[in-house]
Amino acid sequence: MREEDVPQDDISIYRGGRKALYAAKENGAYKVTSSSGWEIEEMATLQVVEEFNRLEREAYEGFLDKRVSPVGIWMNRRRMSLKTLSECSGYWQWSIKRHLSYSVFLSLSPKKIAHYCEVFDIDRDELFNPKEFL
Amino acid sequence: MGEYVHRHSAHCESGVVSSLLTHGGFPLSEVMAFGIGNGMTFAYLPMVKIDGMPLIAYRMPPRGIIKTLAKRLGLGLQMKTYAHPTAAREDLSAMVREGKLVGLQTSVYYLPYFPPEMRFHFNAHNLVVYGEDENGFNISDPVFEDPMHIEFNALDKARFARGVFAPKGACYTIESIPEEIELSKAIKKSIKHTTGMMLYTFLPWIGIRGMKMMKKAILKLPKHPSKRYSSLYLGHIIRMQEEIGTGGGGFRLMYAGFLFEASEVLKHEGLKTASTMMGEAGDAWRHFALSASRACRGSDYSVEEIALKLQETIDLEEKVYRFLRGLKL
Repeated sequence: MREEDVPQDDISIYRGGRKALYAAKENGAYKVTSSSGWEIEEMATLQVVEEFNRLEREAYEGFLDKRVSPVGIWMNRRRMSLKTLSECSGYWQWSIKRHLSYSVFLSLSPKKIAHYCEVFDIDRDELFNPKEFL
Repeated sequence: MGEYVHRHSAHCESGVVSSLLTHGGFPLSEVMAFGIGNGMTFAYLPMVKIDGMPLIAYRMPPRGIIKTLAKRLGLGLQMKTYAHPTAAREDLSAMVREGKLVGLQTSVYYLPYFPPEMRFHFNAHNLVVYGEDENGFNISDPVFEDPMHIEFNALDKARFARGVFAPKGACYTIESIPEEIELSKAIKKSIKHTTGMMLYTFLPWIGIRGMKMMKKAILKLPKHPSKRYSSLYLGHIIRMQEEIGTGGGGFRLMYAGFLFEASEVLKHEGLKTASTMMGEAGDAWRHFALSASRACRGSDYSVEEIALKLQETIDLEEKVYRFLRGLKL
């Protein structure tokens, strides 16, 4: 990549910041250049963000129907997969899967609820009354 | 030691090491740190999943660069992890007050200054702490243009994130730099190591063979029942290659930069040729990303075409490694 080929697509996800990319100078040496982003990178990133948002919306709809517990909403809001949440909370994946059910969630011990609050960095009220996704 | 100078780098770990060394009186560019630290690799691990996707890495595991670099150059490296955030914070404060420059491993997700769209649970980000005030630490995050400030609590959270590669408050300082460093010897050794790994590792997931495995996996995508999965899969490859602080083309452009600087240290024209070839491989990776991105965009695409682009890239890379192996260094 030559200096003049360094993408400057002003991508939204950088929020006005710039990233360092390496580009070749005339003599073949490489130097750090500032890039305002490549739209290909933006697309791939937004795709994942949108996927988490989609799963969060799905969980929210399930929550309104009293099928899915708030854990399902907060998990995706915190961009965690089941595996990530399991690693961050220390709970087994199968037990988190149980906690994703609305009725099981309501019967969780205060200790487990407090632990989820800590993992998601929210208070009890926020956990029980997740606001709709914006 | 003079005032600390923040430098904008492509990759966090090599950027941090290069800053620590330069500040310590041994100016070393980021690409040199990356090359000598054997930063580059390729690994495709379908059995290790990240958010349901296979682990794809274009560089060595966290802390690999700094450890290898310390070994090759004979640096006195001190690395610590902690059980409790309080102890970690007090220790960090003490080191900063002594005037030390400290490298930290953190999670990306909990760093408040990261743009929201780019915050993911990735635990192997590196940054430098160079000062402290009553609210928090002054930090120099190499992938940002300017130095940052972070509050104590926020940094604690980022240092004690859980999950894969959990940092456990990891911090490191360079305690000593040898009087004389034979840079040329370190360069030769690291080139031999990297090319050997890319060509001859007996594990099928690593190096050129790993790339071929990824190609096969791409060709199999149409058989997957979910269309969304294929699109997310290709998007995942692009992210690992272009987003995660790679300097472009999955670190290949950084390595090309390293080969060029190496050619000047060793006064070897062959390395200059290798640098050009590696640059072409880096560009080929970017063309591959461009072609794969059609799938994420939702437009028509054929996996054969994407796989063909990948094969071209693999051929170019294999050629560079064979060429480098053939050089008399």
